[in-house]
Amino acid sequence: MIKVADLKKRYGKVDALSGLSFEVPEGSIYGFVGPNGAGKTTTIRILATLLVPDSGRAWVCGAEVSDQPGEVRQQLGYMPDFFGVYDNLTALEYLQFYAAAHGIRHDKARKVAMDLLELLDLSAKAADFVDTLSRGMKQRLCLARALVHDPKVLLLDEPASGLDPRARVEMRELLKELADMGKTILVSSHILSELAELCTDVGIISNGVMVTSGRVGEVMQRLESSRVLRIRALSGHELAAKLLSQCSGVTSVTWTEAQVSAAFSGGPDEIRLALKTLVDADIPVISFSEDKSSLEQVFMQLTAGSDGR
Amino acid sequence: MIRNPVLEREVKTRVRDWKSPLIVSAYVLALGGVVLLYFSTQTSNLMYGNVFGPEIGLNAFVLLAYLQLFLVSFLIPAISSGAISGEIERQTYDLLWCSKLSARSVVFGKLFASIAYLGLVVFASIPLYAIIFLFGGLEPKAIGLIFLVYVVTGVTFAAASILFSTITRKTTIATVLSYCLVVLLMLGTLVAGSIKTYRALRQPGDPANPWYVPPKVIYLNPVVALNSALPGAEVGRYSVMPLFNMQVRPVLVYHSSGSAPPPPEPKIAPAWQYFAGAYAGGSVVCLLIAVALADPTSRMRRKRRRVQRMNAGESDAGR
Repeated sequence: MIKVADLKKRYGKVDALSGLSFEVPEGSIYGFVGPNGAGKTTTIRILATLLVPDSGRAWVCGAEVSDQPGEVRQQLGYMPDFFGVYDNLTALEYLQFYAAAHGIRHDKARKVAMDLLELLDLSAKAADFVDTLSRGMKQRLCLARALVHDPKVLLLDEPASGLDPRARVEMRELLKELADMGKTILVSSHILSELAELCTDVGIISNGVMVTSGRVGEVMQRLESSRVLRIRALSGHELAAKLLSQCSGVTSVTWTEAQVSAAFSGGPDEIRLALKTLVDADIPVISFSEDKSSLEQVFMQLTAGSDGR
Repeated sequence: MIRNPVLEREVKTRVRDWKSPLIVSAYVLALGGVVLLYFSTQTSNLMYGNVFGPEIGLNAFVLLAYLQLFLVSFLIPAISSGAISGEIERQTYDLLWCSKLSARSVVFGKLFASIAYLGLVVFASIPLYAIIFLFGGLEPKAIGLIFLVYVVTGVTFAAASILFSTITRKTTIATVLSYCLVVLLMLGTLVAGSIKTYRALRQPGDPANPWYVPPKVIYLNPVVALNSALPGAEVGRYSVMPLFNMQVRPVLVYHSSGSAPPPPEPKIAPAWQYFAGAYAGGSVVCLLIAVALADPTSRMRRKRRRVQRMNAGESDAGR
C-alpha cells in the first residue's frame, strides 16, 4: 500500500533521510518509531506530497508521490503533528470546508461531516467553534478531517502527542476501529508502549535510515540477543549460574540470592537443554522464564548512540 | 455556479470576526464625519452672506471620493497581507495542500475574499453618497467611474499583498512591503512625475514639438486616475496636482508669436484608462507569480524533474 525506496532528503548540511526504504502492507497499522530528528516527519511529509525528496521514490496506492501528487492526495488522509484551526468556524463547518476542498458536493458534505463527527464522538460539539475545543477534541476533529474524503491510507504524525492518558486510550481505540474499517495506517509516535499494543507492523528509523522493519513479532525476534532467562530456585543459585554459563546459547550469567539471570541467544531447543541441565543437577527450580523485550527496549537498543537531529 | 471553498470560508470567518463590525463602523464614521464637517463649515458660512449653492453637493462628493480612495488603499494591505503567510503561521497551510484545492483556487479564493470584504465596507458607505445625490449635479456614470477606480486599485493592491504574503511567508513583512508599495504608488509616482515635469518645463521650447505630454509614471497614481474620473475632469475642474507642480494634461510649452495658430492639443486618453490598463496588467502578473509560488512543492518538483532530465541526458550520452 505504501512503498518507499531509497529516499534521500537533505536540509542544508544535514541529511534528514539517507536512503530510507520500507513497505507498509495493506490493512496494517504501521508504527513508525524513531528518536527526535530521526526523519519520521520528513518521511511522512514526503508521503503526504508536501515535500519532494532529493532522490528516491515513494508510492501510495501505486501512485508516485512526486509525479502524481493529485492521485496520492485522493488516496491519503494526513494528520500533522502540529496543526492549527480556523477561528470563527464551527466543528461542522470545519469539516464541511475540507469536504468541499476535496471536491465533495455541498449537500453531501454536510452528511459526511455529521457522520464523521458521530464516528469521532464529537456530535455534541458540532455547533461549537473549533478554537474553543480541548486539545483532545481538536486531535479527533483533525482525524475526522483526514477522513473526510474516505481515504484508503492514513498518515498520522504523533497523533497522541499532548493528550492526557484518557484521550490517548481513546485515540488508540479509534485507530483500531479505523483499521477494522480497512484503512492502512502509518502512525509515528514516541509512546512506544502504545504502539506495541496497537501496531501490526513496525519500522524503527534512526539517523534517516531504517534500522529494522516488519511484523511486530518478527522485529522482536530479530533481537534475540536481548532475551534474558530468569531462574528462581529454593537454593543453589551459584551452582545454577555456573551450570548455565556452560550451556549452549547462554552468553553471560549473573546471579543474586533472589534469582539467576542469563543473557540468551539460542532457540527453543537450547532453552529446553538449559532447563534439563538444572533439573538433572537437582537444583530445586521453582521458576524458569524468558523475558521478552518490550518494543521500548528494542527501540532503545536499536537507536542507542543516536543523538537525533 | 462554481464554488470556491476558500472564498466561502474566508467570507464566513471574516464577517464573524469581532473586528469586522468595528472596521465597518469606523470606516463609515470617518467618511461621514468628514462630510458632516464639510457641510457644517458651509452652513456656518451662510451667516456671512454666502449662499448654499449647488456646487456644495459636488464638492462633498469629490471630498468623499478622495477620502474613500485613501481608505481603500490603506485598508486592502491590512486584509490581504496574511493571505498565504497567515495560513502558514496558523499551521493550516499543509492541510490545504493535502486536499484537491489547486494553487489557483487558493490564491483567487483569497483575492476574492479580500475584494468581497472591501465591497462590504464600500457598500456600507453608499448611504453617504445617497445623501450627496440629493443635492443633484451628479451623474450615475461619475459614480460608476470612481467605483471602477476603487475596484482596480483594490484588486491590484490585494494581488500585490497576496504576492508579498506568498513570497515572504511572514505576515508582518508582507504588510510592511504592501504599505511601502501603496506609499510608492500614491506619493512616489507624484514626486517622480513632478521632478520629471519640472525638468522638462525648464528646457527651452521645441518648435517641432510644442506640446509637453505628462510623464506616464503619474498615470500609475490612483489619485491621478480618480482625478481624471471625477465630473468635470475633462476641463480640469478638480485638480490636486498644482500642489506638486504637476501637469496631468498636455501643456503648450512653445508657441511662436507669429500669426500661425498653435498646433492642436494632442489627444490623450483620460488618465483612469491608462491606470486601469497598467493596474490590470500588474494584477495579472502578481497573481500568476503568486499561483506559481503558493504550492509548497511546485518549485521542488520542477527542480527534481530538471535534475532527472539532466541525469537521463547524461546516461544517454554515456551509452
